Amino acid sequence: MENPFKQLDKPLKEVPLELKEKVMHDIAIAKLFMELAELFSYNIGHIIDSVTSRRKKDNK
Amino acid sequence: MTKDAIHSLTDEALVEAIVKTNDTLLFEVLYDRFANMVYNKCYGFANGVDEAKDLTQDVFLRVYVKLGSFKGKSKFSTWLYAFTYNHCVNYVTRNTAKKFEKKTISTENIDIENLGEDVDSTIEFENMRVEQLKHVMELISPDDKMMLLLKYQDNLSIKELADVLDIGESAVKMRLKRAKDKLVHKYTNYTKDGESI
Repeated sequence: MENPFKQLDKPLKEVPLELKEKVMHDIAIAKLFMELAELFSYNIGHIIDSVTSRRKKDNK
Repeated sequence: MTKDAIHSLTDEALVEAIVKTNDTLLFEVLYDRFANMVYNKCYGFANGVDEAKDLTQDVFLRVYVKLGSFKGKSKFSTWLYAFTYNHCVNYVTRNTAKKFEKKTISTENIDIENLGEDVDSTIEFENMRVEQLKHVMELISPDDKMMLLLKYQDNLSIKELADVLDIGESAVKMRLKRAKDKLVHKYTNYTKDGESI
């Protein structure tokens, strides 16, 4: 006998076509907000990193 | 990158490229690869097509935002299975957390070390009828349902489960053992009663 869990989701449902458009719209908005947030914020880790690495070079 | 080159990328390489470039076109390729799987998993937890669509939409949005947290410890598909189930379980239990009994089971008499083979075996399920199993899966808590599906439908190993759920291997074995016991118990009672438990 086969493992019945493999049959649980059969027959597989077809993904509605309009869903892709909705998802990609969401993604576009999410990308916009992520990029805006990046624009108006500082990447503290990067700043510390770049400052300390430059200091080492200047001290030489 | 040409279209052919993109399509020949492995899932993991594609994810890496998306994290690096934030390119929505690359994400579209990822959507095409996994939409079917995510939608069908969501459908298993949803009440109807509309809810399944909403869940799928939310999952992909969260995946896009959280893609950076995929560290490549497991296959991307494994990570996505767990991510999808987690989202569905949270959705289903958001208001009904108390509805499902949460009994604490004494762990004293359970030998965790030797649970491995016990949870790996599917002998208990072999004589189960699919239709009835479907009904019984709705009667156990969504958490247990998630564990059972990840293990026996998606074939994740104990180690993979521990990685993607971020818990220890013995915790995975315990949760699987309990879920399996509950399922078998409910299934047997279901046969006796006809419909209710």
